[in-house]
Amino acid sequence: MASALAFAEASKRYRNGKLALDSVSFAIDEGARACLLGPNGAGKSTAIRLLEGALAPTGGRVWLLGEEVGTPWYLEARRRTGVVPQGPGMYPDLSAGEYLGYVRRLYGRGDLDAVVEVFGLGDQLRTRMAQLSGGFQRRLTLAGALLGEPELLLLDEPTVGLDPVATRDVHDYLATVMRQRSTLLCTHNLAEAEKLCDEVVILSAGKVLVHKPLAQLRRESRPRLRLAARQGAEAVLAALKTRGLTAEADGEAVVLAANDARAEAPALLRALLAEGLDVYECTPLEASLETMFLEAVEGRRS
Amino acid sequence: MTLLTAQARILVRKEIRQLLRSRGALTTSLILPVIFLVVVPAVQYFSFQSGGTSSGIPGAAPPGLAGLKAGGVVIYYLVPMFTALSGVVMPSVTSLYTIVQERERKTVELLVALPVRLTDIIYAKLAATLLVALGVMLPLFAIQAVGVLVLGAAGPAWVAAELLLLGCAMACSICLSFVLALLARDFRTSQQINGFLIMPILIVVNAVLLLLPAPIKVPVLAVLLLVLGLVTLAVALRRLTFERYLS
Repeated sequence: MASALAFAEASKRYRNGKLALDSVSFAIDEGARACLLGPNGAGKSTAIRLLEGALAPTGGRVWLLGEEVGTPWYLEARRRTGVVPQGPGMYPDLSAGEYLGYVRRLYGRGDLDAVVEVFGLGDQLRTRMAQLSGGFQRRLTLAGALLGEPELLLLDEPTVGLDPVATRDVHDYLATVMRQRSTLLCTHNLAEAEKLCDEVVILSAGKVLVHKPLAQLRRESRPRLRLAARQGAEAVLAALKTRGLTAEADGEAVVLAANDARAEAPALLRALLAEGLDVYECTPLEASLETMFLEAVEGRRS
Repeated sequence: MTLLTAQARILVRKEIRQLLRSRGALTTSLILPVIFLVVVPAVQYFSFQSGGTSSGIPGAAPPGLAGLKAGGVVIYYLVPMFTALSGVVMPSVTSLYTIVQERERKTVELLVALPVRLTDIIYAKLAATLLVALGVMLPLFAIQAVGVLVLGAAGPAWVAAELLLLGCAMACSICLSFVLALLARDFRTSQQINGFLIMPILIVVNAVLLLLPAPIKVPVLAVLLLVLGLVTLAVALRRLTFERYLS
């Protein structure tokens, strides 16, 4: 399958000496919806900047829709790519309609009326961009990214700074538009990534830590069991300790790692009840992206 | 405009539209040239004429002013100085609005997200600045030139030399604006850098106009400003990258 985007031993060292990306190699297939995760300073925004062509790699190569960044044909690939930048400023002297007009001319195509209708921007077209509410500003940047009917979407923190209602609206739009397109979503919001993506790339300190389908990552992640008893978390922890099991308190409950949570749960539950603990919750937990992300990043640090 | 890519030409239209809507940019780009190209030369010329000073400068005059009568001092020293000043200052000050504000407001992120090269973005801004400057300066220069010719203060050769000076000063200013685009992170810093770049040029302008004889000093100054601008640009291109505009 062809790649929507690819990094091959790509490095970026800034002029101040900071190495933002260190021989990074990964590819996202056409049609895949991948999220790019990582702690602050991991190199996520630099990766997006390299794909945008705004920065040039200091080593290695980067491809977008089959065209290498920096070549004469790259601009054509950019015309087939929609980018939602991270928290951009808004022009105080251009209206939303004028901005979308320039965007359409730069892409050389696009159905303005259709995009305006999809994002509900009809009443805002004459409003100066800086005067739009945060939610409408984000809708406008999404509309700009989709106006050129792109095959690939690069989304850099598309919901950062939005209130919960606007965030939900943007998620709904994204869920719709991402269905037919290859997507790379760069985000800190793990719930957002889990909701919208099916492939995960985790960067840390400029290197790729993990690149797997989310489902595979879940399968490989160590299962967990959540237990809660009327006597409280301390009593459960003590009972588990006598069996040589270590767990972590999580509020009123405790969470312990298991090799096979579903198989081990009944025996453990019987044993705890036999000891007189009034266990009222015993739930096998599916690993969340947050758990897997923390495992990957903290595992790397340790 | 044909020097620019199709993408850059679209951006030029955007920049000009924004410049024409910016009160600060318009005020700056109109007031300075009106004062420097029309008001000050007219006031100086008529005040010298009404004062009846027809003799040369008393005492030991610098070579560039030697033998000039009062009207000659205005035509061969004050007017070229203000022409060079407006040509150097006006485009670079206007560029603060197109280039630095874009960076300061983070609206450059919107542009980078579009299918354009960073070079297109910067060249479009410089081109828009130059076009607006030409739109303001050429009519004002025409007023000045017609006035000088009608009053018989100088001939067509002087007008041609002045036009050359204005063109070269503006080219120099655009080169400075480019450096400014890559160096300045905010409006305040850009004003400081602008002042730092323009001050030596003002010293050069005065030195040439005071030290060289009248027939050659204006063309020499024009060429010198062009060379200064191009050298600054060459040094900037060797040491700075376009990526700085995003950092």
